[in-house]
Amino acid sequence: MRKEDWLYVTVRCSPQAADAVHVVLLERSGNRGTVEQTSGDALVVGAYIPLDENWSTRVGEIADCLAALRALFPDAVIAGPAATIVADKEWSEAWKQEHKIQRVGRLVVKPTWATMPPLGPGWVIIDLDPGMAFGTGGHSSTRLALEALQAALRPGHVLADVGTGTGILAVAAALLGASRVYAVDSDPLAVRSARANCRRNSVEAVVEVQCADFLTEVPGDLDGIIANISPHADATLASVAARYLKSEGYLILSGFTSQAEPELLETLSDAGFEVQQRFAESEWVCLSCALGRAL
Amino acid sequence: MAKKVKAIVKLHVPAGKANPAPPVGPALGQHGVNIMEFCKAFNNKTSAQVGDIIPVEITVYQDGSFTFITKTPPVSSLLKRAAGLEKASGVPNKQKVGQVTEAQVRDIAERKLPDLNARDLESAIAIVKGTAQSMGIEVVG
Repeated sequence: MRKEDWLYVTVRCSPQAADAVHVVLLERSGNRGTVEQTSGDALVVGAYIPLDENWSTRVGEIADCLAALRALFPDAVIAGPAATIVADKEWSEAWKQEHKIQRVGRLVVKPTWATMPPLGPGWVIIDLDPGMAFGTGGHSSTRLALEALQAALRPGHVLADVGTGTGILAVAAALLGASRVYAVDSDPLAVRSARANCRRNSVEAVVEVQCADFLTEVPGDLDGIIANISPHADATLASVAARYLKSEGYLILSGFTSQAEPELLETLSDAGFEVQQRFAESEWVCLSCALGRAL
Repeated sequence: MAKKVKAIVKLHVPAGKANPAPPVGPALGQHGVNIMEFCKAFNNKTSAQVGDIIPVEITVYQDGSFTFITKTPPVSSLLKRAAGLEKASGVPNKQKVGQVTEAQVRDIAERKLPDLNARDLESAIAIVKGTAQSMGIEVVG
């Protein structure tokens, strides 16, 4: 073991003793904070202790404190402490290893820190760093939406991306040749993220990011509307989308599973849409729809 | 919300003081959460509560994006503040390290009533007193 490594100390306990166990572990781990996991009816409370010269003293103190708590909570389970060694890392960087470069058709979504060999002509690269906002290319519904977008989009199209999150679909549309994209989100955090990603990919002149609900601030006569949100929000959008679209316009809906599909299909049909293409990955579904001739 | 949840992580973190070191770094990093973005957002949200411990529940989605909710400080944190204590007793059955009044106990019980799984205020007060006892804090009239 190296001196800079950590000892992850855990205690399994009944809920009524959890607060007291948190205090014991918190105070003997330098008040850094504690972790709580559920394990059946019990909780597992954990804390990280530096593996310095005092670690065995601290673990001994924890054992003594737990013995005192057992006397005070005779009906509670208080088991432990158990411990495992955790190698030290540059934690502010280590999380990045969980994010891989994603390829969807001719789109490549990559974190800004990832390097890749030069690609031939025809590839479109989106630089995008994961954060709080949704849409990094790592979720099935995002990949399906990117696939559907590539199938439907033609250069010069004017689009709206509803529930834009990181702005990934709007940025993709702009890089694929859309002449104007309205990227809408009701969450100010997503709006900030989308604006930053538009600048990062040099498409801020094409994409207008709006903090708004659905299409309230978007002009009509759109070639396409795309949304990767949720069954409920997708249904709400489907019921109003037609009036914002050209007669030959398309609506791409993602963010739901096959379980929610029948109800959404009904809403789409009631709103005058016909499904043109269905995309699926595991249980996730994305529908690309056009306005029916009846309208 | 139709996003696939990868993990729900529960932490107790000092208000305004989250940093990439353990426990935040390893607990969230393994799920691909942008650590600095979480720390900044958490510290910003809890900056007015420095001195308290804040339970925080982080929902991580399949693509590493996340949301979090913060809860009211645990009873132990409120008791320490009420008693003006830095540290609880290591041997609470033998050594008392501080005092709180019945009125302070009642205040804490009222504040924590929704979280305490208690039938009524009286049982919430009993839970708060039990926690005080486990920390070596005496309840005085």
